[in-house]
Amino acid sequence: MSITISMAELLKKALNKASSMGVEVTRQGSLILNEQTAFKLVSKLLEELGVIYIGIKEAVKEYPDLVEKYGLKKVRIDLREVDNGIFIYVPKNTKLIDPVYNCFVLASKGFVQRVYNLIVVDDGGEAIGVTGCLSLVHEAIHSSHEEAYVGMGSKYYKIMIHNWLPKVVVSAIKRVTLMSEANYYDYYINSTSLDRMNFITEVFHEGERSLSRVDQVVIGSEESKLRYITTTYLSASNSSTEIVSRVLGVDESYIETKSSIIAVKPGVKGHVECRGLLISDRAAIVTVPVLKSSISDSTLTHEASIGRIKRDEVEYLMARGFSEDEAVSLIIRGFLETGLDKVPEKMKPIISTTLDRLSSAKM
Amino acid sequence: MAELLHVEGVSVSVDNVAIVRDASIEVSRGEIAVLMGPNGSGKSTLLKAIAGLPGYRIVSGRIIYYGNDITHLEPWNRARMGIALAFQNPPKIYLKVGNIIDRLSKTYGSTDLVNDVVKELGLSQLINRDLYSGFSGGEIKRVELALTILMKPKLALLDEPDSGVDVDSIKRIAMYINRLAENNVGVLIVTHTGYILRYIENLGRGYVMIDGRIVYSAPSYEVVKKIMVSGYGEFNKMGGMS
Repeated sequence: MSITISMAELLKKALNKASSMGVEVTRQGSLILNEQTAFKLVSKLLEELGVIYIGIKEAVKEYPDLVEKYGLKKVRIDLREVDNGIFIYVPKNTKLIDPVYNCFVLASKGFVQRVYNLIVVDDGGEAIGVTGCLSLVHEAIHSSHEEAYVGMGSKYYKIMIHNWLPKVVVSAIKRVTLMSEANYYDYYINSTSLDRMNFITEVFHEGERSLSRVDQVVIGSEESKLRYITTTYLSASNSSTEIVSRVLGVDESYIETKSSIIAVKPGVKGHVECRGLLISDRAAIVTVPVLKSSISDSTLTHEASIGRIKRDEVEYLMARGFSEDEAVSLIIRGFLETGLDKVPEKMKPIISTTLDRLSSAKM
Repeated sequence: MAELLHVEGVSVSVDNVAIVRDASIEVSRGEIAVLMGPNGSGKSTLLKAIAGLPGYRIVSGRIIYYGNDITHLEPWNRARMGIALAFQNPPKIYLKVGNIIDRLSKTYGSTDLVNDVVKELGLSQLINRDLYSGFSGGEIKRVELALTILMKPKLALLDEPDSGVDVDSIKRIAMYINRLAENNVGVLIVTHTGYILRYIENLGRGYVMIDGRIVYSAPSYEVVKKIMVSGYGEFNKMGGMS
């Protein structure tokens, strides 16, 4: 006897799971089940501000000029082969205070979800995007391409939270272009086991004095094989970047992070900080910081470490009144923290709650 | 003064090596007792055994706290019962000073103390730093004391609170130790130099440990006076472990 779950039930399940991840699409945003937009809510304020927030396929038809101007510049794909995706255009000097939530859900076994997102924050604009990617089924594939254009003097803050299941395979490519004095902050968390992950993030500083920061918090569990390649190109003078990663190796997971900064123009600054913590003897972490420069007037630094939780650290906290499990959770929580001082206030609770949940989970 | 802690003939082993032998110490509520001895004499080992740290195995004797035998209690139980240990050399931990302050103050109901402790012990600049990473000696001692205070202890075990600390910090730390005693907290200070004791107002009992044994006990000022005059040489003759 086969049990068919209705679309409505799937949507309810997906919305609940998204909400538990802090991805509150019912406040303002959309949820895509496999290839279908199953839920969408756009606030009146967004419409009044002239923000365009539609599916990428609709955007190709309704806003061909914008899609052509900003889209497919750093990503090579055929849009006919894309199932769905979102297009957000924030007009010049428009500042969005509330986050826009998007959620991509794998809901059918064997489904291959192909996504292309295009986000444009035009000159002087500001936006916060929260994206959740999750799976309701095992054995499915998520393949996404995302381009973001952050105009002159604009700010774009992005949180991405992955919540997969074992046997899911993920390929994600994200490319961001920053114009003069643009500011980009990217915070990524993945705490779930999956079969394989290949995640490429590239940030192109094409405008002077642009700033970027990419934070990645990755917990590998079970037999996950996770690979994160992050590269920032400092192609405009006086631009600066930071790439910060925290990687926790649990069970038999294998996690590889390669974080590169390439200095092309004078006066640029960059820092890579990679920390790995092994919880299991069978897990493995490979972390590779890469700095490349042919410019004398550039400052590039890196620090990298991989270690284990030491017995004396746990005992120290036990003497402060915490049980052994609580002590380990506290240390993991502290390790995962990358510092939220530069994050907008609205993003902090989402990140903090997620980190609390992860660190208190049984490791 | 009502008795708070009674260490009765305790022997402690670390990795099956006997470090402390047959040590007896008493601390009353509101008393500032002092345990002195040269480096490596076993003072810190005894404090850690009182705090119940794993690895510091009590092979004989008993630890009585508020009349109850706590010899085999877990360290977090002892901490929750009011025994707080300020470490001499705490480990570096990926945990922000602000976060541990937050957790401790919520756990022990001491949130009302946080602002004063942070201000008076000069911790504002340390709040966003990982515990003890790149800290000076004085910073370590001030944070350790702050965390101890936020645990609202009934018994504070302070391991070398004056080592590697400048004079101003010693005065500040001593002020808080005096305040703890005024609030009826029993304090046991371990020190090998005794520098901090000149700023302590009402010293109680004093003990000298040599080679893992308590070889001398008297009012603290007498203990300090003896050590100031002739160092630990005279106590060595009184017999350590053989």
